[in-house]
Amino acid sequence: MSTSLNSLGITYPDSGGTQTKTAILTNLDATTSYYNSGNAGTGQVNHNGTQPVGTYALLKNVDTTYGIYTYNSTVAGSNLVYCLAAGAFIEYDLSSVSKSGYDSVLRFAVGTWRCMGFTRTTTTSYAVTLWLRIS
Amino acid sequence: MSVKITSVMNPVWANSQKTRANVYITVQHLGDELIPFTACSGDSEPHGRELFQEIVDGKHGIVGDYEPLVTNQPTITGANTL
Repeated sequence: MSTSLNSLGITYPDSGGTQTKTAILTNLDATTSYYNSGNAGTGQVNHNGTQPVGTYALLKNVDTTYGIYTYNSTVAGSNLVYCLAAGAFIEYDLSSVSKSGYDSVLRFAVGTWRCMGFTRTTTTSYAVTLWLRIS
Repeated sequence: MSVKITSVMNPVWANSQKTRANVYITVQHLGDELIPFTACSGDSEPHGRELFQEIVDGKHGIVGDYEPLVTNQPTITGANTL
């Protein structure tokens, strides 16, 4: 049994009397901002790389094949990793990792993401922007 | 939000471990727009998990080999390098 919190369709399933509950977002649309699902008791974000449709995230495009992504373009999650605004974390983290080791180190996204800004992946500092999961 | 996938094509493994796969799909809520999609068994969305299983089962054809990403490695070649 769930308890509806507001008109956005955010519900917290009954967890049998415990204090730990997980929010479930329903009726999502691309014009409204939402928080990720996570632990409602502590306010922590569930950062597992598999965020639901409708989630915004700051992601770095690590595929330089296409070079430039403009607003409203789409990309597969496998090309996007979670990062800091300047993307510096990724470079630091990979300083001693070969290309074949990327997959075990980076936190890749899944699904389809729409560009909410602009990226130029041929330049590290410009490869980060805001993305919206659309599928 | 329930996502209904209306077509799937060109599955390719997205990593060497074959735990993710890239495909092109169309979905009901986006009309005819052909979009790239990464399917994964650990996706929080059920349509992503179901699609990945279908790919593994061969429902959408032979899955292409994984091709590593083309990425920029940081370089230290001079004081002006960004």
